[in-house]
Amino acid sequence: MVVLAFILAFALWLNPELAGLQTPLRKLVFVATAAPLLGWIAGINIGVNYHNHTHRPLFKSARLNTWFERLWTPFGAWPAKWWAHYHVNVHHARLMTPGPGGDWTVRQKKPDGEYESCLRYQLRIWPWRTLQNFPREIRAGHFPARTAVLELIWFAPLYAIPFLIDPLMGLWLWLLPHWLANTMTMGRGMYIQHAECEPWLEDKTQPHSADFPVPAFNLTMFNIGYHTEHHNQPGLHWAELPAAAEARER
Amino acid sequence: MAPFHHELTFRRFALRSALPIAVAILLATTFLVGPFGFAAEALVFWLLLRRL
Repeated sequence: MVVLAFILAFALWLNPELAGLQTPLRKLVFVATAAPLLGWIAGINIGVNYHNHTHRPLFKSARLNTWFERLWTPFGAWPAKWWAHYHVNVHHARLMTPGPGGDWTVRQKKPDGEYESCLRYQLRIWPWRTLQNFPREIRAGHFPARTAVLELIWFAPLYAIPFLIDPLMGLWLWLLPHWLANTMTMGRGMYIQHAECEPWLEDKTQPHSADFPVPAFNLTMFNIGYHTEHHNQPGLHWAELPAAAEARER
Repeated sequence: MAPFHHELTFRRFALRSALPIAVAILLATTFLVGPFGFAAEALVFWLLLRRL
């Protein structure tokens, strides 16, 4: 459905007479509406759906998973294994660990020692902080250089397709939605799931994650609101999270 | 064989896909209602979601 939505948006842009996009004002109104909607679903597509796949792959065949991922994650502006490393090996493995070599995927302290605000975090995490940290990950041997390069080779031509068809379409209906997906949808999600949970680093009786047991949210978001349980048992199927959370509370 | 989980029904699957389906429908209607109609539809959709 996410792929279909992008294809529809591109079809509208490329057929301005049919879509009523003949003037700059009409195009502006269309982009201003379509980009946030596309960004919203693209962010969920990576931050929830692909996220679940990184913990519990969809297929038994590793090769099938690899190829499926390579076609999947460009719709969120990520090379597949890059996001998997970012989430599983950096965020889960080093949860909220401060400093160089720590969990740079969550909110960081500012130079004055205070934690950054949600907006500051959102505006920095993608692509700036991500691009800044991946070379470090590779140099430190945490993320194999061969994997990084190979995944980029598969990602780059796919990601370039909308720009090659129409550079302005690529900018407004591909890159802009992806910026919104990574900063506003995934960025905000990442921030609120762990902000103010840093005391856990010193005192393990404190919560490491914020839960959102809102039925409508969890019904549509694969129970990602049961975040404490997800971090306690990352490999647990999303359908089992509510029961596991209930069992822990008992 | 593992017991069937209530989260894995077609109804729940459709519910989890509701957001991208709605976005695709909104985009498709732009061919009929133009960009201003699309913006108005998206606004109504957003207001409805906020009431959930």
